[in-house]
Amino acid sequence: MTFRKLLAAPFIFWIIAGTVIPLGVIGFYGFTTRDRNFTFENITAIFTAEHAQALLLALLLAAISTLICFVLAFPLSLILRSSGLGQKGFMVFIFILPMWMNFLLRTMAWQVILEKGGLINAIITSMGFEPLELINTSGAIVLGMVYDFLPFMVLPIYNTLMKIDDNIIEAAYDLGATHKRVIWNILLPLSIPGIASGVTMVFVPALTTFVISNMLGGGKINLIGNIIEQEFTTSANWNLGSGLSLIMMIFIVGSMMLLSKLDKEGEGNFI
Amino acid sequence: MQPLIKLQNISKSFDDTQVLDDFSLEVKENEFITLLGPSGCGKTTILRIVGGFEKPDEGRVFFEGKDITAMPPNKRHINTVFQKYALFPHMNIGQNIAFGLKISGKSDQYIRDKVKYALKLVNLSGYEKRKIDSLSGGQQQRIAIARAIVNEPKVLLLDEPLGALDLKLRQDMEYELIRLKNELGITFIYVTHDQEEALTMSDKVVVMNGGYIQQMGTPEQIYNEPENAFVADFIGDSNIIDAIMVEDRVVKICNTVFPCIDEGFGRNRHVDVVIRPEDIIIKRVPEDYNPKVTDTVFNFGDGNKNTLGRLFGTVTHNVFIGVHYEMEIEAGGFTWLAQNTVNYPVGTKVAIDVIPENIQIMNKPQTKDEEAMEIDI
Repeated sequence: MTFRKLLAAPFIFWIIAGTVIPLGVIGFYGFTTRDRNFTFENITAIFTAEHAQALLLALLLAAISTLICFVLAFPLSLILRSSGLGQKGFMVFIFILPMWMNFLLRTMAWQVILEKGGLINAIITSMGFEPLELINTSGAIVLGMVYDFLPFMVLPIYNTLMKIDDNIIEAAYDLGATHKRVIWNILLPLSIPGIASGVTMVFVPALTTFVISNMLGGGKINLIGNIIEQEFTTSANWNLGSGLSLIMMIFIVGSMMLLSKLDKEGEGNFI
Repeated sequence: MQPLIKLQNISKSFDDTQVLDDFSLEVKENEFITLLGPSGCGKTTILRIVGGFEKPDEGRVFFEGKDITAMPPNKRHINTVFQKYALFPHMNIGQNIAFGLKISGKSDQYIRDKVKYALKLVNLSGYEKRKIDSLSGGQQQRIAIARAIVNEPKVLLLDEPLGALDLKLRQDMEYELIRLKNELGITFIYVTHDQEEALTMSDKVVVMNGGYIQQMGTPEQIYNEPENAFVADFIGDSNIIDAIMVEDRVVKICNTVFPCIDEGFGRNRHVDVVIRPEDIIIKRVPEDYNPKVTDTVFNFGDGNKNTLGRLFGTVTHNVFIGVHYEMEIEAGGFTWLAQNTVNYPVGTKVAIDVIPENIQIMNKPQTKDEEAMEIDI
């Protein structure tokens, strides 16, 4: 073994200890019963009404959140690029600042704002209206997802937009293009790699989250993440939890493979 | 005839740096005009103001007599070829060239024919479906030109379009641009820092420095009759020497009197003299030859104005650079750059002559500091 190969040893160890072994363990649990007999039951369990519903709802809410994040992030990145505000990095810094605060804390803040006696309802009732059912709804979960994951959409899109040569945009104007046309025909297609990694970075955690749905869904709305969590904790059924996790993994790997085709420049390679 | 483009008293600064100050220029229809100068001289800023990418702080831009100062670039009948090509990387070559035509709402058939015609013009027929990154730099530049000319602009702006190409390709492209200009009858405004490109292609060269026009004229005028030391120095290699204009048609260089053909500079005026290296006539003199100062004075003093001035010196440096040898000759306290097809090895004692027509007399630059200095002298 050469010295160079020897240098890779810690990383190989890390991959084995951190990825290969845990995956193997999940695979083992997923395909066995409590008595260590081989079974497909943990996998096919996804087709039961409760599980399928949770998975579909998780897919739906994750997709909606991703879409909202994109609709917010793309124009924002455009503004940051064209105004030159982004050049100094300050505005971008402001947008990613919440990322550095504890994830639970950020979500809990929304709990306080949305709950029955919370900030918004306090304002509404003080004006003489009936309090609204804000928390423990799908809307609250989507709001939490958008708030928590928006920076992951902004950063890659902003990065690809900033990398586009000014001359290319000027060339489009030079050839007679309007602002609208420049955005649709030049900036949007050229930022697809960033959009692809942004979508991956929002969709995947949104699909698997159980913390946001726990805190803002009040246990009434079960996403697939909550089901898996409950199997591991309250039900203590590691086999079923592992089986469902494997199903999730298929969705995650599938969506990442699909999106990585669009991201040829490797904008999201660090995921 | 009314000029096609008129720049009137343009001033522009970026942050605190004044790039252009009271700059005016007229461009005639069908002209190939080159803005030539070192980087930072303001030439690209002028191009960007004509293209509409920069707004002048002061001054007006006229196009066919109409004020277009505030008109955005997408409304101007002007197209630009950018320095780094700026092709759209997500479109193939055909789509790149068709971009402008699609916007102006031309029919599919018209666009197809036009794209084909434009590709033929730049010698890349049949490349419609190719990807941008499959092309070499020279091919990409030709696509950028095709993408601009396909819209039949009145004016084509070119911002150092050949800067990234190697020498051979650059020369080919120079001929191609001249051919295009003649075939299409479009006005070209060309920006470069390369004097050879400027001299080869232009009808008119505008030499710029520090935001000002140093000299404007045909390539021949610029090369043969530079108006000041900057132009002389920038356009090709040259010997620029302090000298004293003794009287009309007599100049004293390195304390030696040379006959020349310039008049009207007054008596005993300090001037700059430019002599091109290829205009220095070299004669070998015997090793033990000891020139007397009186030789030249005598030559001149017999009343024959065609008699050459003459300096004596030694070759101190010699390189073969292709067609000729480039030599440095120490003579009269100045290091002369000379070119000759005959080789005079280092150490050779030589006499150098210059015929009167090849001595170009220029006024010293008249900045306030230098005027003050001259009074001191």
